[in-house]
Amino acid sequence: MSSTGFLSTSNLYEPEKERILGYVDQWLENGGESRPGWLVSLLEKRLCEYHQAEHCVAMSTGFWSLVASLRLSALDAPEVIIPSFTYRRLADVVFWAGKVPRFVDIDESTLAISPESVERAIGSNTAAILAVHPIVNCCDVSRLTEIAAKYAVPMVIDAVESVHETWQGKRVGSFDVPEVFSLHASKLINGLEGGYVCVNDSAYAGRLRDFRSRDKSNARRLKPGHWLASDMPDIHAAFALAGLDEIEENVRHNRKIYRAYQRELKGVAGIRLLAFDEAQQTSFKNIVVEVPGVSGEERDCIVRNLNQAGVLARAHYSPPLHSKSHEYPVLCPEPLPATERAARALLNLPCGFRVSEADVTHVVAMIKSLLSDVPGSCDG
Amino acid sequence: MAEYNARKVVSDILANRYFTNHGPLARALEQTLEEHMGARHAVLVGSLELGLLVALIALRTGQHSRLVYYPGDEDPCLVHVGAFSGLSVHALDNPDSVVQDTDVLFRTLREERDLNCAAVGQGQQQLVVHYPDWSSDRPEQGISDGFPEPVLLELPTRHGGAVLLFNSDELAERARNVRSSYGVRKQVPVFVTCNGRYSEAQAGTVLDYLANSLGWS
Repeated sequence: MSSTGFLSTSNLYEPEKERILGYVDQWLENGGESRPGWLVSLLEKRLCEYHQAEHCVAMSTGFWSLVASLRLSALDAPEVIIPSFTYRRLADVVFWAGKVPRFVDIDESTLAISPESVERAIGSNTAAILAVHPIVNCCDVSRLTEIAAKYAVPMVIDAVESVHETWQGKRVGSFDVPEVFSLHASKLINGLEGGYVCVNDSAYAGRLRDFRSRDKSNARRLKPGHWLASDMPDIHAAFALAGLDEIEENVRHNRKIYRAYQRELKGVAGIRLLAFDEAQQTSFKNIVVEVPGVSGEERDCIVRNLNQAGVLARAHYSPPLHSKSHEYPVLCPEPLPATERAARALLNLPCGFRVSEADVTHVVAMIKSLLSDVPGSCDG
Repeated sequence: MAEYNARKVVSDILANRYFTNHGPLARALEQTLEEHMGARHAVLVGSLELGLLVALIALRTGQHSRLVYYPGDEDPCLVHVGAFSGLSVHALDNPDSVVQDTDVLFRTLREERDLNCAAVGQGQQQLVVHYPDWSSDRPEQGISDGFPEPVLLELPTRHGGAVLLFNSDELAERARNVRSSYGVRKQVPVFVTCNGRYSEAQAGTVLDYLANSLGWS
C-alpha cells in the first residue's frame, strides 16, 4: 500500500530531488527571478524535441491552455463540438472560451469522440471542434482532421492524457493543429501545475505567447478575451524538466503496473481491462476496466466500497457532461447511446508511481470479492 | 523583486510528497494570511487575474451585467476579465452612476496601508483589488467587519498569485468551489468553475518570503 495509505488514480511521478535542484541551480546561476522564464524556455525547447513539434508554449495550467487555444482558433460562430464522455470540466473550458458546448457521442470501440457524430454536428453555427484523446489510446486524428478541413472548421486537440503516445506512428504533439497538454502532478509529466500547447504555426504560437504574457501593453492592444496573464513559474518548469529526463523510467513503471493488472485480471469473469495499443508508443499510464455485467448503480457501489478501503477508484467519466445540469447554455440535440452505455460500465483503477505490483494484487482481490457479491456488498 | 529560497521551496515540497494543489504549504499560507489580515477566510488563487474571475463568478447574482470602475482605477486587464465573464466594462463619470443591481464596482488600492479606508459605498457590490507594498514592515492593517468583500490582494514573489479575503462563510465557499475541487470544504453549486488552482510551489515561495522578510510565521 502507498505510504499515504491511499491508492489513487493520479500518476504522481516523483523526479529525483538532485535532478530538480540541478535545474533550479542552473536557473539561479542564470539570474533566477531577474530572468523569469529562463527555465520555462528550456522546457519549451525540450518539449518541442520530445513531441517533434515546431513550437511549444507553456502556460500556467492545462485548463487555460485549452481556453487560450480555443479563443485563438474559433470562428465567429457560437458552438464548439466536444465529446460528452470526457473530463468533467471540459464544458467549463468552452464557457470561458466564450462559446456554447455542443455534446456529441463517442465511438464505442475506442471511447473517443466519434468522427461521424462530429460530422453530423457541423453546421453554420460551428466555431471549432475540441477533440479529446481518451485516457487509453487516441482519437481518430486522421479522420477528424479530414472532417475539419472539409468544412473549414478549426480543431483543437485535448491531448492531456496522451503525452507519450503516437497515432499511426506520428508523435502526438506533432499534428498541424493546436494540441494541448497538462503538467499537473496527476499527469504523466509532473510539473506540479501547468500546461502547454504544441503547434506548428509560428504566428499562432506568437499569439499564444501574447495571451499568456504579463505585459499589460499586450492587454491594452489585444482583442478582449485574448489575454490573461498565465505564464508558468520556473520552479514548475524545474519539476517538469526533471520528469521529462526520467520519462522512460516513469513509463517502465506504468508498463509494469499494467502488466500486473493483465496478469491478475486474466480469466476473472465480469471484468475487462481496456488494452493499450502496443503497436503504438504509449505511456501505459491509466488503468480502465469495464464491468459489463453490473448496473451503473452497482458499479458506483463498487467504487464506494473500494474508496472506503483506501482504494481511490473512480467511475470513469461519469456522469457524462450532457447529463449534468449546467447554469450556462449547452446543446445536445442528439441522443448519445454509446456515451450512456460507457458511463455506466467503466472504472478507473489505481495507477501511477505510488502503486506497486503488490497493490495491484490487493486491488484486484477486492474487486473480485465485490463482483462476486454485488447485491450484498451494495446493501446500505 | 521579492526574494525567496527556491532550493528550500523544492525541498519542502519533496519532503511533504504532496504535489497536487492545496496541500500543506497552501493550507499553511491561507492560515497565515487569515491571521495577519484579520479575515475569516483566505482563498488562494493562481494569479490576480484568475482571482478577479473567481470573485466575479462567486459574487454572480444573475442580474449583474456590468463591471464598472472610476477612471482612476482603469486597468487594461478589465476588458479581458469582462470578456471572459460576460460582463460589459464601463468607466463611470461620477459615483452616482453606479446601478446597484446590475453593477459590480471594481476598485483598486495602491498606496493606502489601511484597507479600511476603502470601506465606502456600503450596499454596492464591490471588488476591491489591493497591491500592497510588501517591502514595508507591516503592509496591512487588516480588514474589519463591514468591509466590502472580497478584497483581492496581490501576493509577493513573481508567481505568488493572489488571495481573496472574505468574512462571509458562504461567499468564501463559493469562491473555493469556483476555483477547483482542491481545497473545497463543502460542495456548493456554482455557475461555472475556472481552475484558479494554486500550487505548492507558489505557496512555498510566498511563505518563505513572508517568514524571512516580514517575520510572519
